[in-house]
Amino acid sequence: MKWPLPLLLGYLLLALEAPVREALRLGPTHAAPSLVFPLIVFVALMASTNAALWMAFLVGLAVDLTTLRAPGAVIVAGPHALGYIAAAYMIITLRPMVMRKNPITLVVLSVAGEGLAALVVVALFAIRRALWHGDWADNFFDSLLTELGQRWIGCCFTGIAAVALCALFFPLIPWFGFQDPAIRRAFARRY
Amino acid sequence: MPSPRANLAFALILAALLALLPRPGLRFVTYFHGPASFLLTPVQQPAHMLAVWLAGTERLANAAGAPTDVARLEANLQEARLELLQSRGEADNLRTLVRDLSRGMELNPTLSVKQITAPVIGFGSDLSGGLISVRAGKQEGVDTNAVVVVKGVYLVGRVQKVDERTCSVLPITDPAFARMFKSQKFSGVIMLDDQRRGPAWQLESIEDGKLIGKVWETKASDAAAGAAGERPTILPDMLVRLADDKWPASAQMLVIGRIERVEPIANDRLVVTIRPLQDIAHVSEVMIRVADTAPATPAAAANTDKGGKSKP
Repeated sequence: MKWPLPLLLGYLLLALEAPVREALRLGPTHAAPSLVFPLIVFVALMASTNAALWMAFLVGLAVDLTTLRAPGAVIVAGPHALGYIAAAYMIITLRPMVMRKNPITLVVLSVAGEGLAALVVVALFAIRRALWHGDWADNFFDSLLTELGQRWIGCCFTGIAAVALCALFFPLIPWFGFQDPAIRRAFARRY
Repeated sequence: MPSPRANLAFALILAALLALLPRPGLRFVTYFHGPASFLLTPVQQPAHMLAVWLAGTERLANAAGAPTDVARLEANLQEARLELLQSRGEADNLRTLVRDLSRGMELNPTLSVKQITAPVIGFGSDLSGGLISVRAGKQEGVDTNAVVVVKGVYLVGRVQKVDERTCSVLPITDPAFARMFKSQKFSGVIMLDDQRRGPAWQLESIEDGKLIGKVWETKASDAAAGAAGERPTILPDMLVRLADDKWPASAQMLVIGRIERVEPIANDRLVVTIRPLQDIAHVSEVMIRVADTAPATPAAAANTDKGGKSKP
């Protein structure tokens, strides 16, 4: 995979993610679509294993570093990086069994992958809660189960966002420079 | 040279360790927020403004079907009311000070306040963070704990972290706000009408962006009750203003919101739900109230106005 295009797309989608999530969030909950996650799924479907895992790690870390958590205005680096890597690994494992070039695959795996990432993120916050007490404790969430529920509702919204993003990602396949000859042949013909 | 797979394994272990760092250790990682948000701001801020414009929430809040002149006069009236109530509060405080001085206590100099107008950049990538970035920082004179308002009178949040060019604001509607002020209750006063203070209100929890708290009788509400001794009736749509000693004097009497629901509980007590009138997430610009350390001369005022960013 040629890195400039995925990194540029990642930057743009990450910058647009916050305003779009805020505008489309479900009432006062945290349930909102993710723009950047379908890109991770797309790369995980098409690129080599290493490239896909690094992409997931970098985007997840960027999400962590751009999220200040209240109270205390601190950053917890790692939960999204690990969550997105877990999701990317799941997609890499599943990809021999799915139709990679079908947009519906991207939509379905975006929902499932973000569901897994949400589980990992909330599990890490649960471990933090169990590990640290007193001054070292954090109370970022009232209820972790509510947080997980809201994130899972958000996954369905991400599926809708993935439908729209298919129209952007698939025509750009020749410029991504994926190594897989089957993908290169198929998309060289189509576009 | 280590293989890419070994590098990835190292990155994974590092991420796992960072994710489980205790709270004091997170301060080091938080340093990286500044550069990360600096890179995203050029795209994020225009996108936020566009989203606010498309959603129309700001337009609805500004206009609410009324012509622009009427909306402006309404805003002026709100500011005048705020000043009147603050002046009264100040007069009360001065009376207390005079009494205290006569007992030999020190007088604290009164600070004037300037309002820095700043564009809202938006939330972080993960909405659960709860903090909103605003494009004004140390360079503009913003301090930690500065009060953030919309249209000069509507309280929307408090500054939590200040970087060089940006700051992070905790909205009063975020559940973390209630957790933060759990030990030192955030409180306000219910206004029986434009001028009369009613009973006090103390925040207990925040649900669905609304502030829920209990009503407490105070001397002011007793005075409002009058000679007959009847308790004032708390009704939906009454205004609730900030009246909390732990907040700066300049922030007192800012509007928290309007009462949406009144529910009786045991012992004749009331639980009141307040709906804030402005939401920081749905505006493109806020005002940050900071202590004005500049000398109050006409020349200094002219310099401040010339910048176009702050107004006294």
